[in-house]
Amino acid sequence: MTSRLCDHTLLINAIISLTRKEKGIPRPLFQLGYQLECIGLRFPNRHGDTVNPDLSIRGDVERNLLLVDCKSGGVKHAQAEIYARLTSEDIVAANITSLESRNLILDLTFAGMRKNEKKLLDAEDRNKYGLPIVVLDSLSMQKRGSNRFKNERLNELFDKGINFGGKIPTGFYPFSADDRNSYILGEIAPVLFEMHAKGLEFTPEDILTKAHPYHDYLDSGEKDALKGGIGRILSRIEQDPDFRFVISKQKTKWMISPDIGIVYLRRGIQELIEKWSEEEETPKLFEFFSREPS
Amino acid sequence: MSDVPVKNRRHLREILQENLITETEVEDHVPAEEEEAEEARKRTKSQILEANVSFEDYVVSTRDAFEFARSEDSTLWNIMFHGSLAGYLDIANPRLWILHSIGAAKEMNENVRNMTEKDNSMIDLPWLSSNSLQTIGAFGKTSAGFSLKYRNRFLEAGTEIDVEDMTMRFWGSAALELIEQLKKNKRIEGGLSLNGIGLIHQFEKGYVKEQVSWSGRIMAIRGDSIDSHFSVLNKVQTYYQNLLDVLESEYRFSYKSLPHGVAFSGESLKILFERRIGNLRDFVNSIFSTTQPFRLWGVTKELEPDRLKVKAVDLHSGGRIDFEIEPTQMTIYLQAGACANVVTRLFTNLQSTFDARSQLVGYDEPIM
Repeated sequence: MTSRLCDHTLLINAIISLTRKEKGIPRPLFQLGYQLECIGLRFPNRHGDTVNPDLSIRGDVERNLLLVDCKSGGVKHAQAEIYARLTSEDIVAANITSLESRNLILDLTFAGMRKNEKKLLDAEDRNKYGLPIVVLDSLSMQKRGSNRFKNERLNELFDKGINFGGKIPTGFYPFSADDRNSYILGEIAPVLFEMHAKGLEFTPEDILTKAHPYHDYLDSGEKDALKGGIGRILSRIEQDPDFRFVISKQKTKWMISPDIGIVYLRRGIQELIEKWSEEEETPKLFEFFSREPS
Repeated sequence: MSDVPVKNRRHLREILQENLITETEVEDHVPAEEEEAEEARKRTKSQILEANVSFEDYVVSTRDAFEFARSEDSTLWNIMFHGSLAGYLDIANPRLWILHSIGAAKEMNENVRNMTEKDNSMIDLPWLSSNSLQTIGAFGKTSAGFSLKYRNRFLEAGTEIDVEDMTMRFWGSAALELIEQLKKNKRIEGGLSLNGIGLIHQFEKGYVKEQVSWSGRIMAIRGDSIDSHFSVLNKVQTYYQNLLDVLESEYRFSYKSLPHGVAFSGESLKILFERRIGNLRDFVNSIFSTTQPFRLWGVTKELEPDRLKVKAVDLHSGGRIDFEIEPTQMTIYLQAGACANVVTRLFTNLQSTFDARSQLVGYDEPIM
């Protein structure tokens, strides 16, 4: 059974991979002289609003800073307005880049998927944010709509489209709140192993902190959703009649049963991933009845 | 093993030099041919050990097994196992220690196993792949032989006509040429995984004939110059140190928290196979089920039918490492703080048990 990534995790991984040096995957941003500068960006603009795009990528050749916000659903109007008003002066004032500040060119784009493309384009039509939109469709990424990057090289690149050829790497960004339980369980498994090896009690926040290197820079809604999701995963394991290797302590902390060994822990987590993946793949009854006739 | 503890580095040199001369005289009269007989010989030898722990912490963690007696030099220790002198431990390089011994090779191997095999031991072997041994073979003035050992652990996983198990030893100066000739045979090439290389090294007017094993053991077979032995040892140590440095500086993820976000650096690695993995699940289960020689704990997620993601832990050091595995390649994401030795261990063992033609590549040239 497949345990696929959610759109948000896939998008961030896809864009990070474009900045890597690795051969065998498309790396056009790296070839244009762009380098990933920050993940999980959070800074104030000159009006005191929080700006929180997912990625900042610096282009040395053109003195161009590219900010990317990955969207798996629609656009929040307030956030998009902040992005639309953001200028290179805000970037300089916030001291968030190592690029030379004079003549700095700022580009900010929404990255979405084929399935939410219409939402992104509709929001743009209604509100005229003026931000370019790139869309990941199957294994290629292309610019949609009429808005343009300030850096012409980015227009050329994304107009032509980037073909990922083989597969999109998944190892740069771990997981998002929209990921399935089976996927998140796999991602946190090494941390559960560590807690077990050290005999430690832990909270969902402890697990998130160790499993997600960008946890401090997630917006509060995403962070709360992730902590809640991890808590539900731990409760679900505790209640599973076949795999009760997680024990809750005073309802706020958990630990892995000290009576099990690492081989059992591996088998237990592996079997739960398979079981949950299968359940997640099975359409729910109400989903079946709510489908529109084709 | 001599019962004489070393006082300082000069004393160590005298002991090793004297033993080298004595054993060369023995070799002249009774040349050992069988591996078992050789393992009983008390040749001068040095084992490189990869350490992920400070010496002080290591002494505390192994006090039930080993005792350490100081010499006059703070980086040279006499190491005792069950009350007997087991060797001389040089910790001048805090990452790559050297255990010198003039005892029987099999005793040294046993001691090294005791030091390295326990989970979370934080001490590992330097894993020299077949490619690395070929590189090391060229450190000498001339080559002196090679041994190869290939055990196909993935009979079920391969789809091609599987490569058979192979063992071979060759002594002679044409070793490197013979290896190249053997590679031309397609049936043999997939199992042509070196596990030892012989070389003759000269330093000024002295020489030593050495056997370097996959595990980082450098054994003087004959010779008259301990300086030559030290020279080979230094070259192998430097080679491996550089390898770890490249892996850990370029290919290990690092996250730096800044006031406005997280600066990320690090690239992924790839192992490219010539042999196709037939059954990905079986392949992954063989590697990540905590057993020797891989020492990896990992759970698997299916991204696509021919692509698995594995989240793993290195049982030697507790470091984290992630993989994407497809039928002809493995992408490796070495996580922050993990020891790069996990990569060399995996690659070396895949060469000797799955595909000797596999390559470890980064963004530039093959790495090892």
